[in-house]
Amino acid sequence: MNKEYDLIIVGSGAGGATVASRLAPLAKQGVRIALLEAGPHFSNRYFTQREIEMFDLFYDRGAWPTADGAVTVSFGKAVGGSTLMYTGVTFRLPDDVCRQWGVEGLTPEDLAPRFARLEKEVNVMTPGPEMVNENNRLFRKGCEALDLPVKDIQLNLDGCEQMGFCNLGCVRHHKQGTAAVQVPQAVAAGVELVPNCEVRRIAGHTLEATVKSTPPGTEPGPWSPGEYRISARQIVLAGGTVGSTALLLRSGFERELPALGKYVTIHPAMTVYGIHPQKVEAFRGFPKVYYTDAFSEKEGFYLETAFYYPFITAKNTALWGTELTHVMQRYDRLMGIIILAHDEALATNRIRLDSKGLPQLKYQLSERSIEALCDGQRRASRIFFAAGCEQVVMPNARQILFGPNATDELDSFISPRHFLPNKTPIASAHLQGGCRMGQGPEDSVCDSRGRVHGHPHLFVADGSLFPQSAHVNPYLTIMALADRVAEGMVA
Amino acid sequence: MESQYPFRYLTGFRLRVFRAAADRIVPPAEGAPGGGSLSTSAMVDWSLDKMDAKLRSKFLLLLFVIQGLGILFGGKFFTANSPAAQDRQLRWMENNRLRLMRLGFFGLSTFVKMGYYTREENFPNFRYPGPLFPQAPYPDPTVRRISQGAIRLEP
Repeated sequence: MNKEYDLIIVGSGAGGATVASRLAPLAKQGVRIALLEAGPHFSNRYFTQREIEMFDLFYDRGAWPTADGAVTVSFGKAVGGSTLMYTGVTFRLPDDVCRQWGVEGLTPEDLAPRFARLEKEVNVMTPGPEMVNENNRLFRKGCEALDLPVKDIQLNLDGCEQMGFCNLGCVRHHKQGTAAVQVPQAVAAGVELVPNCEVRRIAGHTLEATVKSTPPGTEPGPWSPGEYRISARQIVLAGGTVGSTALLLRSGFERELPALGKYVTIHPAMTVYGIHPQKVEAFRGFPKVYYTDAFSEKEGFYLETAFYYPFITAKNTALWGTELTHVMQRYDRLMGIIILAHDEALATNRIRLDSKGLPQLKYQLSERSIEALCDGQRRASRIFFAAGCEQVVMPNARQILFGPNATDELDSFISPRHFLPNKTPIASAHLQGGCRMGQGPEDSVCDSRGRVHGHPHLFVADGSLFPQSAHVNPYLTIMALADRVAEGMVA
Repeated sequence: MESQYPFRYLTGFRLRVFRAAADRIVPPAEGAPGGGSLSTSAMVDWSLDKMDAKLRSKFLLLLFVIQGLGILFGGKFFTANSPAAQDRQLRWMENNRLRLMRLGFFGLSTFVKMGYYTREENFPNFRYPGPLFPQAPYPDPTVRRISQGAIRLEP
């Protein structure tokens, strides 16, 4: 079947939906715009707050491994993309990181008004004291006892009931992700939303796509299942580091753009736990309201409060046998902290295609990232003990489960020596890069407005544009870049 | 609605290997069942059906390998070895110099943890009250029924 549009946007997450909402006024004027999404359209009635059932929201059911299996990568495959199951943690791209990126025209001054506008649009707020659950309160207590600065995490919520299931989709749509805000805005203005539409290839102005049947329980789209050729005057790719990059690779762009797929960063993360003598019940209330950036500049990581559901918690511990049951029988007394390391953008860390044309992420943790994760575990251990924990769980410790007696020798007790790929559980939910912005096609894929070098009608508007790690949770930066892309298209 | 769940992948010796390993990874404790229950295996079997066929085959092959390697750790197949010998073998896999062996253990333990810790019948064992909207429907009722122990399991 053939379709024809003025503008096609591929992907409905933070980037694609922002472009769609920015250009939606054009749809009211008769410009034909379609928003294609590879994943289903889940309404909030779909969210059951059960881990095993909600794996449906994720690409590869939330367990997409790097090529060597050492890192588990999670991101959304749904209308709303990863904003459907993120926690709503909102950071502006730090000014110093923006300058380090060195992208012409992309300055803190350019981004600031976009951030301000977007924050208003998605209702970014500072959580009040009523949103501080016991895990967060204890994190603050531990940090303050150690004289560490504790900062509020900004969140994009509206009327949050603090149920604690953000990462399994919000039953009430209180989280102001794109499925709640930008996608409905765009659809109301006349943008056509097409879920379950997997774009396989781009050839000039034409996309080849397959629309799959609507999975049970999800919202149907306007197109019947089948093969489509969709032509458009302009095309915006916003399928994220994996989706956009793989699509360009499958379409043969690597020959003219040697940087395509390269310089991927992932924010390697470890979630670590402390066992507190009192009930914490971190699984209730809002999971994260505090962080400390005390170690960002010199040691290369952030510490944020975090807590997950039982299976992911058990997996994160790296324990098994009686030690695992010892920890999990105290699930209601666990504190959680996530360590987010700032990884370097290396050409060797890249998206590539397997023999079937499916994306693979070839990624190796650098020594610096491993050291940062170990340092993060040392710092988190001290915070847990300062908050009153009896034991902590640190996968890179000589003995994973240990008590406060080890604090005097933490430097040797938690060490890269104990880091073993495919044993130490490393996760990532912040893929960045692959279609990086830059000056020319020698070392980048897109210009500073997201236009693919040498292809005036083709744009990228997602996290794959990042030339290096953002250091912080990336959704707001993705939106701001998408805003720039849309602005450039209109101009 | 189906009244029984027929196992599709974890059958025969593979089911026995999985259950034996699962009981070492999540051992029974203080009145709580271990990971080796038929229900945990059913959760995993259901998940295997959603998995990429190539990966699924690798996982099933892994169970075969584990069974055979048991000879080196207790003189018998894995399922016939003592719990101590099974633990030695699993620890050897976990810390092996070969990445593939470590990956195998990581995959196995992840499946066991998923099967055990997503089962609602087990929630009280680790003091998790579960969802706030327990009646919210899911399009595939089978997994919910396995999770709640509300379906007959046919290995």
